[in-house]
Amino acid sequence: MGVDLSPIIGDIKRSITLDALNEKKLAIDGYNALYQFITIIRGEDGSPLMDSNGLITSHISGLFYRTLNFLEKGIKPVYVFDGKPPELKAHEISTRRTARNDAIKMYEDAKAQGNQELMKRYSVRAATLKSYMVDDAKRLLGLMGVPWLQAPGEGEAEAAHLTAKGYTWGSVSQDYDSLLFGSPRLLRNITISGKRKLPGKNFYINVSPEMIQIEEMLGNLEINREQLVDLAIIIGTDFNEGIKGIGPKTALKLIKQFGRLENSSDLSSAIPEDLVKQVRNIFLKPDVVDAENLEWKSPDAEGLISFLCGEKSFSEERVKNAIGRLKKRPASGALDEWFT
Amino acid sequence: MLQVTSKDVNGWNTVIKAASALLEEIALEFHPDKITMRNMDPSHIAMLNLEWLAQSFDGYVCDGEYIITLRLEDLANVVKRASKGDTMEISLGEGNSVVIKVRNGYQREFTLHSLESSHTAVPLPKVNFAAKVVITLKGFRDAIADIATVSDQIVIKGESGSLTLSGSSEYGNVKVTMTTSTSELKEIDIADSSTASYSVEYLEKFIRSLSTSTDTLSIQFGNRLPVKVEAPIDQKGSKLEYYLAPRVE
Repeated sequence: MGVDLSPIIGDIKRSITLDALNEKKLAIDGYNALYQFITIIRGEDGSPLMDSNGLITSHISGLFYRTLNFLEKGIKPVYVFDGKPPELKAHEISTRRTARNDAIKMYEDAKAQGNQELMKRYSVRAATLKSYMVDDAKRLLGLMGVPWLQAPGEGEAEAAHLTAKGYTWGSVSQDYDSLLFGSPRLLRNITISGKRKLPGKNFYINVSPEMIQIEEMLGNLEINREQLVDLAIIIGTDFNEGIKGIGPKTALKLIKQFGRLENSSDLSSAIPEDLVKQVRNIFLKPDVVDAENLEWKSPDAEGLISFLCGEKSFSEERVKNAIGRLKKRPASGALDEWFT
Repeated sequence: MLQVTSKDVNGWNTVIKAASALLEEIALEFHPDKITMRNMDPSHIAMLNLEWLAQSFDGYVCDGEYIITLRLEDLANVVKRASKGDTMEISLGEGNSVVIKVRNGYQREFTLHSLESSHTAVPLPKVNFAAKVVITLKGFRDAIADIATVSDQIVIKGESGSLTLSGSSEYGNVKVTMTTSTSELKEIDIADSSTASYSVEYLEKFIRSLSTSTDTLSIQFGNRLPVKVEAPIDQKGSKLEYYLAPRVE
């Protein structure tokens, strides 16, 4: 879920087009992208795409066609997958599991009543990313010639690290946690841009890519990254509950007033000191690795047809067309080459 | 002091439309003898280079060097308010503001806040073009529209006496051939046979921004080189140049 910083982001969000990302290397939070695909790519009754064995393929469809779109635009994606979550995330993971189990029960009730609208709503909430889906995604990326990385810890932290170290130009995620992990440049709505139906409502909004630069954001808020992490701890993160009744705007005021969380007796008494230390460490000293040799290779056409059409019941005609686009993938170079 | 007056807003419309296809902000540099603007889009695929001479304006007073950065949307909204026959005057206001006066019988005065410029000077690409053609705007625009029906990239091929513009995709192929006997192709000068491909989308956006009163375009290109399209803004020597990087295979 991540920390919702949207109320304090303000007007520093910049709209950006995929064309503007030509030649840019982007570190994409793999779990975040796959989760979006399995929740969004669904039929009228909310059921996901499936192969002939009844296994979900929404994630593969989303990953294949979106990555193809990136490559055609000259973008160089590298997907980063979560490793072992920090122990403090156990509570958040258990809460999500409970919510999903509740949603599964409600989906079954809606199905028994034949209520398609409710079926769709609860099926999205019940969506779970299973380990076979992550394996599918890694295999597909390999066949497409797109690199992926197994993060030692949080994928989002690794993507932020790759960007901070200059291996990639930006981190792609829907969550603002990337900023807490120190990504200089967060790109949102990259994997899901376009028209999107609002959950539970019968109208669509246009979701377009946007960029947030941490330096500009911190300058605008007049705080530093350590203070941004303290602010997140106050409102609650995936690793701690936060203080009830305090939202981002109030937390910002408090952090600006006190400088650090422990400088306020009210704040420090509300969150145990040891927990504050641990959460700060998760964001400021995450478990990450370097990535020296990121390589984008030619696609394996036969392997893709065998995997997508042979194993996953995709239309051969559509896949062959897509592979044709993938092989071509001519992108414009940049003019910089002619400046020297 | 800065005071630039035009009795025709066509030139402004062209510059704003061309820049809007690539940028969100425009940094106009006012010199004593001309206005210049050189900006690249964020992906560095395309560049606009403007040279708008003082004699193109009905009044041009500039006693120094001024750089004014404006949000293109704001500037476009103001220029849209000027109709045919209106006179538009641009001058500096108080602080970091720009005053645009539109007159036709009575006066309307708009004040826009100049932005803190993030613009840095960029050089022009150094390219030894191997081919140059002069073609009518209509001829080039139609050829691009033809190619856009099947492809998102245009292949420009220049050989002795002929210019071929083509595109292909899984949906089909399009080929437009012009020779020196074609009325749309005014001049052709090919030092070496040259072929390069470019984004249809980028070229189309630039071409669409040009005023229909533009007669001809000069196009320079070469094997795997950028293309340079030069469009006159008027008959007094002012021009807008567009550089576009080639597609890489």
